Amino acid sequence: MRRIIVRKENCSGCRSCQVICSMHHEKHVAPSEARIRVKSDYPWKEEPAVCQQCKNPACQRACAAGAITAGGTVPVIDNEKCTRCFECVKACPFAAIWENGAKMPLVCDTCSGQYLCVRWCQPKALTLGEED
Amino acid sequence: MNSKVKVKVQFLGPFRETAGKRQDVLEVEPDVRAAIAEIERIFQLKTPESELAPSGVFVNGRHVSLLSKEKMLLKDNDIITFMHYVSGG
Amino acid sequence: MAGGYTGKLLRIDLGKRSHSVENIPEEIIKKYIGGKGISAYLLYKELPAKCDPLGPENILVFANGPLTGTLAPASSRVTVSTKSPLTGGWLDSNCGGFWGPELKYAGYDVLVIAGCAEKPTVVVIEDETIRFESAAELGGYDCPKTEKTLKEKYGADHRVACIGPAGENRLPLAGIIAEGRAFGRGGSGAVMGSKNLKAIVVRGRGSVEIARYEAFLTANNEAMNELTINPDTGGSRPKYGTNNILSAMDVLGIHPVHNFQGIPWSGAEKLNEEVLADQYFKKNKACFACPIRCSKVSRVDSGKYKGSVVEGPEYENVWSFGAQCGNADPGAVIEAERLCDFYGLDSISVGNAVGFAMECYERGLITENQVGFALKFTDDDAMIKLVHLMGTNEGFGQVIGRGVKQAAAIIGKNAADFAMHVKGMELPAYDPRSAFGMGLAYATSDRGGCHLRAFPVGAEVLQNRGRMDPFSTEYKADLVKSQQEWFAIVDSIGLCLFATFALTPRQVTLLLAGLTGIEEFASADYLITAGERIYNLTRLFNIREGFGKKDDTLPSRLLNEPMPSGPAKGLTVDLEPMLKEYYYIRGWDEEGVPKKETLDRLGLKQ
Repeated sequence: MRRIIVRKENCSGCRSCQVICSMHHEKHVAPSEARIRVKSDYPWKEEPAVCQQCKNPACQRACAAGAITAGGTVPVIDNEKCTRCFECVKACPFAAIWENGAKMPLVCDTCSGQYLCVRWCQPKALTLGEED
Repeated sequence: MNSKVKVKVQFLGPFRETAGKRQDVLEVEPDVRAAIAEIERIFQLKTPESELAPSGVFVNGRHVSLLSKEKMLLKDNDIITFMHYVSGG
Repeated sequence: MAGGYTGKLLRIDLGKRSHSVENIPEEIIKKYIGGKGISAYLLYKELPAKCDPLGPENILVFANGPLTGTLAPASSRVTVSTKSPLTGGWLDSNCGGFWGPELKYAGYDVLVIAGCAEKPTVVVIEDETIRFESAAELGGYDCPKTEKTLKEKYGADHRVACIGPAGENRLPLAGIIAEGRAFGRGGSGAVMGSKNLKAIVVRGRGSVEIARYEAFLTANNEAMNELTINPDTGGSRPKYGTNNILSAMDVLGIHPVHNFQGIPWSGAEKLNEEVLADQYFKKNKACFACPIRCSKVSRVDSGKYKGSVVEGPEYENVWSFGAQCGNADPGAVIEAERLCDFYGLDSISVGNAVGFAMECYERGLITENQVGFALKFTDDDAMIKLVHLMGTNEGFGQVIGRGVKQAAAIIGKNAADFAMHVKGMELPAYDPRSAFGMGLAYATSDRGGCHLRAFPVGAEVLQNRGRMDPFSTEYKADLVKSQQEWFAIVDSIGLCLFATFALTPRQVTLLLAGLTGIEEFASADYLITAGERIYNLTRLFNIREGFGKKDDTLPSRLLNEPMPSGPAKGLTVDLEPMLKEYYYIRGWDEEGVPKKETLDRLGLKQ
């Protein structure tokens, strides 16, 4: 099962991943609408956070409305069932789900398997792998 | 008879990786062209990449194409530098 | 509105604590593009001639380019423009990092700051919400402490641009620091200080629109490829940062030594890009959307300066605190640069000024009594002490911190003979006796002694096609003119200069046209003409402030003292023929004033 492997020691903090993610999904540039985000603590820490496709996903367990289908994949959130309680946001151990105002929370959807952030990461902080 | 001269050779940029070192001291023919050919051969500097990328050889900081006739003959302690194109800093 | 731009200009009046938002007319965008260009248009129009740069009439303009904050490689750049307290003339200074993009996401292409706040103030911009907050508790805070305090108060994702004690003291060498990056040169920090503006905090949750998505994406794919395969942007620059040219500059005799005395430099073995990369660089750092990641976080792990950490050091600081002062200890370079970021100082001018002071001392023009300590070349302790004094505006720092031109006037005797500046701005790390074109670049730079208006060095010593002689005056005027125009465009579109080392003008037009949808931007000729227009406009600005041919010159050392060693031994810069040719091809008269037909062709009015 493929997922994005994050090597934060390689991350230069450029946020091209956030740019291409928002572009692909929203057709404009908006890092605050990305499904991958870099958390920084100047100057030493740059930590990309993106869904790790947990086998036993905390987001699914946290969802009282049963809106999340996940498990060894990126979560699929049912927009109708989602109550915007954002418990999934709090529960995610990778802090890889984000509130999005009145809309559904934002989480990686692999860009239909294209994983564009991985393609655009020049220093190879993001790679595709089969690791557990 | 042209006896060899002892020169310092510097490798900058990607030439450093190709040559495996930053600098060396060599005995070479005094004729600049012959010396350059010899150094390129010893350190295998002529790679397909180096052919494509702009680069130059300098004697005491002066590009070989700009050396006057007298300076086309190397002397002891001359410095030959292999350099790639430099953009700004 | 076209893609890339928000179309909005935010005006702030610090005195009235008020703000307003204007639309930017499309014809102004087409004519002046953004960044430097639109700032030149605004300042020439709105700034009263001959105003006091540190007085209430001066205006600070921050301007993004259309590409700022997008996928385009290294699209981090924002400019600040104003009248310089260092030179009394035009200043545009640009900064990488993340502050510019955040301003764009907040909804603004341009931010114009006028007037003076009654009390120390922080301006907070959160999308459409603008607040004027007290900076009372931040008085005297260094830049890192200011940033930390403001991020704790407003949010970790808020971006901060601030001044340190140097700007608060209105030192002409003060810059504005934006989280490890800087609007370094020309004293923009002093202008901010004179306005009682301690910091500008920005948070933007908006977006940048794309006019032609597929075209923009394709152009970016192409640009990404070019940057990756280029041996500079994809090779030496990620590895060594801006120090990738250091050894080359030393070999070519271009690296200035001991205040441009031109003597042999023995420090290259200890202070070079290999040593820095092996022992000091700990982490690669990038500005917004930049694949080059030329910035480094460095730390000194042993010796006198153990523990010192800086984002850097850059080639310019490795020179200004290295060969300029005769120091070969990388630890001292790192510590000196850290202090510049700490106090909010321009590290190029500061290092140049310290070297100048060292020469004054060695020549007996200043004494140990005046300085407070001995100040000889190679003494890194003295170098560090003097940087502190400049940062705190104490003791001899009050003299040397004014910049070398003003310091030379205070010191008197023949100090002005070796004050290495043009129009009052300290020269950076290139000795033009070893590359004449750089001399013309310095003399005709619109903001004074600067290497970023034109950088002919690379072409002079190692050109792609054909061969140029660095010790000749031929072809230099054309080279400098065309680079000034192209760099003016680069500074107007929001890209970092380094990205353009790997891109042709055509590739840049593809990025611009795809993003904005503006047809005119698809033509490289159109853009270059806009660059010519912008460069003529800053010329008009300077003429209005009293600059002329007499100021398009070089320090007497470079014109009259032959290089004592190196490949340029025996040479001085033969400026006159290059300058004459430059004025001619620029369409300026013999006094360097743009002719009417040139201004008409470019759509400018004097």
